[in-house]
Amino acid sequence: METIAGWSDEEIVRAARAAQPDPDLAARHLDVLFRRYQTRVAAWCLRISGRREEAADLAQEVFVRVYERLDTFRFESSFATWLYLVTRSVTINRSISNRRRDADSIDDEHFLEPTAPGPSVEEQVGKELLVQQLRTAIAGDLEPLEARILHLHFVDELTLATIDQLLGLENKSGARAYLVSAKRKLQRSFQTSKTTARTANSKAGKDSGLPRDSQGELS
Amino acid sequence: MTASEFDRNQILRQALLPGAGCPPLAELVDAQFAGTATPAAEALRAHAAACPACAAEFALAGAFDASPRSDAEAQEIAWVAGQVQLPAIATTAPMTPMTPVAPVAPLAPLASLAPTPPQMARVLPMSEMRAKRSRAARQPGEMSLWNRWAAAALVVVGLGFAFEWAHRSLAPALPDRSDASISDVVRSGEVLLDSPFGVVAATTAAGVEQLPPFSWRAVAGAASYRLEVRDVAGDLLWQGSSTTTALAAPPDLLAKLETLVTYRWNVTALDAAASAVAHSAPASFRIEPPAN
Repeated sequence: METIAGWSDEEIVRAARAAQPDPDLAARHLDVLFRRYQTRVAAWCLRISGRREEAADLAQEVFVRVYERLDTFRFESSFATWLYLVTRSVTINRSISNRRRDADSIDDEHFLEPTAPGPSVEEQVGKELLVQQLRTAIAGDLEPLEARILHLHFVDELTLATIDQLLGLENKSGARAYLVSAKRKLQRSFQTSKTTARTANSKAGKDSGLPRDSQGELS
Repeated sequence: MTASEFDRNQILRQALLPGAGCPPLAELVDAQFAGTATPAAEALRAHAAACPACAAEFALAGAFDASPRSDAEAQEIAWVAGQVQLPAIATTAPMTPMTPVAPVAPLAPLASLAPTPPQMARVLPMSEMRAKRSRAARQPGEMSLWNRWAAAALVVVGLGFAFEWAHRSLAPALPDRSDASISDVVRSGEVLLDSPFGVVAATTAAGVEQLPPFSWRAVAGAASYRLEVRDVAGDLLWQGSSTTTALAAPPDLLAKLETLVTYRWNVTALDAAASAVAHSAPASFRIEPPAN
């Protein structure tokens, strides 16, 4: 007879739910399941927080949340995926809220700062156009790792130190180096596009046609 | 960060968000974790290769599966894992009756977590996982952790024999303590903490949040107990003492606590001379905000 150790995660969840009339049995099932991920969660939390005491608290919080929300697992993904998403959510939200509480700025990179005085990028094109232009530049001009680090920093709001830890970056400046490189490439890309736009406008002898408000700002 | 920088970062963030054609995150992670290369998983991998947003999430999910990168990290991970009290067993563990404490305002029902006897965490068989991770991270030819401990033990035993030889041959006048009573020896014990642990509910009475009382197990020989509450950075928030095995949280501590923030507490058992006879491992708790 196969022991519980040989069961899949999902089989254990089903067995634990079926055993709910016997809380001790259900708990033993879940204990086996949680132990499978104890080290993974610990490693993740350590890399997110960088400090083991904080990581222990985070890992504890993750397992409490997983336990509380286990009923919401609908077998639409693997249990490992579901647990990862809970872990990711708890730890990243905690990390962000801690930083905000400490009044730390998430970003001090002065990203996309104009390199020279003059009209800013936003004054040249509308916001939607700018977003589209950025997407093209990110996909076309950046190395895959640079684009990933941009995403992790600006969308997932991970600190550069956390990105270093999670991705195992071992170069001297870690994620910062990739971020600086990405910044330069995007600025270069925008300088080129601005020059091209000015040339095209002067050849056409007319304005860009983009709507402006009364102060001459792009609307 | 200036308003202009904020706007720029928001625009960049928008450009980095997943597009309409990107799969749900759960599908992407499933593909990352899939042990076999199914056509669906391969299609998602191909999408991620061309999509910075999905590639980033792919890489992030990969970090969840990553092995320790060094022996030092493996040890840190094992330490963190060893601190975790798995809630499944904890909620069903038999409890010893708690000592009555001074009356406090009625408490809202705790969430699914009952107070947890910390000894449950210590019986977790983490040793196998630690050993497995240690073996995986070890370089060929490097001594295993077990061998290092064995070597250290041999050195200690050797030093012990050397000391015994020196004691007998060089210092016959030293007082003989071999007949000392065992009761003379105070061993460092451990205080087992009961509550609060994990997520605790808070009620609001006259605008003051209430916590379950701190409670722990009695230690033989203890005349009093010292309780400390700290934040995760280790800064002391409050220190109290009790001659019983429970203590209610005072208002000045409650005023410092925030909901959804983790705090740690520990207890030191003191004898009649106020010397420490046992310490607890720290336990963590956080307060759920009152339900609206």
